[in-house]
Amino acid sequence: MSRERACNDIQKRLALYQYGELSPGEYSEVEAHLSGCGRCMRELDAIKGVLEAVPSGVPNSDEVRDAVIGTMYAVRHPGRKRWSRRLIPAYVAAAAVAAAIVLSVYVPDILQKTPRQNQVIAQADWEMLENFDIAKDYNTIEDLDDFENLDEHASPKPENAKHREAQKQHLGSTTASRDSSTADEI
Amino acid sequence: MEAQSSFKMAIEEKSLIESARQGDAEAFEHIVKQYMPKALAFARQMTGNSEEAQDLVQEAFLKAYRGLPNFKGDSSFGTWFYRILSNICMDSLRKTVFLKRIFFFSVQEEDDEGENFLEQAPDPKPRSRPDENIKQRELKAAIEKALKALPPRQKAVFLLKHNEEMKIAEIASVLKISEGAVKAHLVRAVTALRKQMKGLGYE
Repeated sequence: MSRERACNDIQKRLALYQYGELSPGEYSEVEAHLSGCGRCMRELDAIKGVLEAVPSGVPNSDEVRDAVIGTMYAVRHPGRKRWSRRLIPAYVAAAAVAAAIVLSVYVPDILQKTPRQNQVIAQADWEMLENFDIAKDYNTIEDLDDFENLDEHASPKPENAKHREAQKQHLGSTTASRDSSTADEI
Repeated sequence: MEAQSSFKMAIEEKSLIESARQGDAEAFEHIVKQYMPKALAFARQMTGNSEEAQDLVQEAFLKAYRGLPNFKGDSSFGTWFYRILSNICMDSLRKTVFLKRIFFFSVQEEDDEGENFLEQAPDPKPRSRPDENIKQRELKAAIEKALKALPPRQKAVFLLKHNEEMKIAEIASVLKISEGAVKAHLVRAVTALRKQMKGLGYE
């Protein structure tokens, strides 16, 4: 091994040598080289100087210590747990079931219509029913136009026109016969 | 004699830890008082910011307090605690670097009121000659700058070795890396600091 290479190899180990972290064999090797190499000895002195310059003083820490102790007393003591972590899934499941029960009881009520809405719906149903009554009970039809209007809305297609015509004629004859019978009764 | 006293301290600490695990807050107080100064020094040198260091140390102690029931005693309390502290510090450093890259802003790394942290630490070898004092201050400032520039893990390895005087095996246990990796990080850190010194003309 050339001298330069040997020096490079030794200098890589000087930090560990300085800290006493070399094996006994390595320690002897470095010592032997240093005894005959001024360059490596100077490098070792430089490393010692660097390590001595690193600050190792301990600053005043009373304030921080008091803060830590104060916070520690505010924290629950170790060993006394209120909640068991293993039961967390059970707690979550129980909360979900409770929420589902509450929702099943109250949501239908929320979804139900208000009294006013119910009244409007009832009125619309009644009107629809009335229309059905009008359509079914030809005696009460006073204005066939109303019936025609209803029919057009229901089936505006031209192919139904013949059918509607036929229905009108039937209605007309039926109404006429009933009118005459009513008049006779009166 | 020294071995005896450190053995006695280890026994006392074990007893304190056990009491703290049972909920004895006073016992944990003693542990905090024991570890606080060096923990704070470590965090300050990791982050370069005293306020941030205080927050991180508080976080580490509280995490340790809450995690005491999980501390099984496989390693020493010191190893376990420094594992928590160094992880918190490294995470904070990585977050800072990430934010800097994203937002291109410079995060304050100096102490409050422009105080240089180095000036708070006692000078290990006081010099009498003024020019040597200036040189020493210059060197310390350069070393501090080089320390700040080290990658988080390298910095943690260096500080745990240099300030906490942990063995390579213990550092490997704290940081959960191999001993070979610890040695590599340590050599690189010292090389980087040495380079900074060379830049100032210290051959």
